[in-house]
Amino acid sequence: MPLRRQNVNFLEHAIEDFEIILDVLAGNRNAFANIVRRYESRVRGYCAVALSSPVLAEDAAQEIFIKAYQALGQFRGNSSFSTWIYRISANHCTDILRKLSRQKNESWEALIEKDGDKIEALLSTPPEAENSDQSELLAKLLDTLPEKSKTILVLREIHGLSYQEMADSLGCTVDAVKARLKRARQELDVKCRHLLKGPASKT
Amino acid sequence: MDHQNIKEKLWAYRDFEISGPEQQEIFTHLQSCRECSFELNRLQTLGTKLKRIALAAPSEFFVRKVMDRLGDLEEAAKPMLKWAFMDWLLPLTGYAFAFFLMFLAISHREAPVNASAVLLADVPQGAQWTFSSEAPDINKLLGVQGEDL
Repeated sequence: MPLRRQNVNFLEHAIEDFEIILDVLAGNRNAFANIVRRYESRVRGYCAVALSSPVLAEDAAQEIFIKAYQALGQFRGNSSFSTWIYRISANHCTDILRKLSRQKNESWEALIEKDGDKIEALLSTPPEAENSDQSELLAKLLDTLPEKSKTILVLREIHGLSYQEMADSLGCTVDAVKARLKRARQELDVKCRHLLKGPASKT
Repeated sequence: MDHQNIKEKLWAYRDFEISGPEQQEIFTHLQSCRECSFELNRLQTLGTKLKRIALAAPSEFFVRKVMDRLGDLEEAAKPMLKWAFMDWLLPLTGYAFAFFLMFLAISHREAPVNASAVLLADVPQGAQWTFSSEAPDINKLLGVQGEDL
């Protein structure tokens, strides 16, 4: 079965990552900057959504890369480097939230009361017509979900990880990923359903 | 698969996590079912919107900050490495000095005592010693006449 172009790109990327890692482990610390460049958008984006705070997200993202550098010798290549760093990111953000004993900034009801019209408009707008301000609204929407639901939706919908990659990142089985994803989507769906226009669906 | 089963698998279908035959079956169903087709479109739209939350914009400043912090961490670790050799050097120096002292003590030998040198130590230069088996005449030695006594 011929490899799809997507799989070939993935393999090339993985091989490049591995070469950089070997270079770093051989003593070339500056080579690690290439790893940071490759993954900093994803890690910072993940932290921004997981922690709902740009300031916390920047510090957390730096600490994640420092942890990754210090633990680089333990990376065995059983999974891709991206999966490995997502795992560090998920654990680190969970630790931060646990330390902060984070309460939700806004409940869904409060969000609807404050920005209900905007969210309704956002969910009805075709994606190509959106503007950057609406990203913040979507982040607030995600923030009303429980932490585990938010994490799994972020990994799947924003970062495009496969079920297996999510299982590796979160340290659980693929079946657990499917169950969590289904629950998270249902939670989000219930919150958005009455705002989205369309024929009523059977539940 | 019936309509309800397919509806439940629409997320997995959208996630490309469905195998070939099932995928084909769902695709065929979507051609004829408006409800499922709309539902799939809704899921895709929602997913696309969530994706816009983003990936942060690339930042070389962030890269530099991380590398600077790594450099600082390595610098902070260095003094401990610099002085670590003192852990073994000081005791080694002490032991070496002790062995040196022992070596000096063992290797230093005093010369055997020379009896003539000790006996003749205070004799004026040029004096001669003679030895006789006869007992010396004390008066004669001292230069004392009999009448003087």
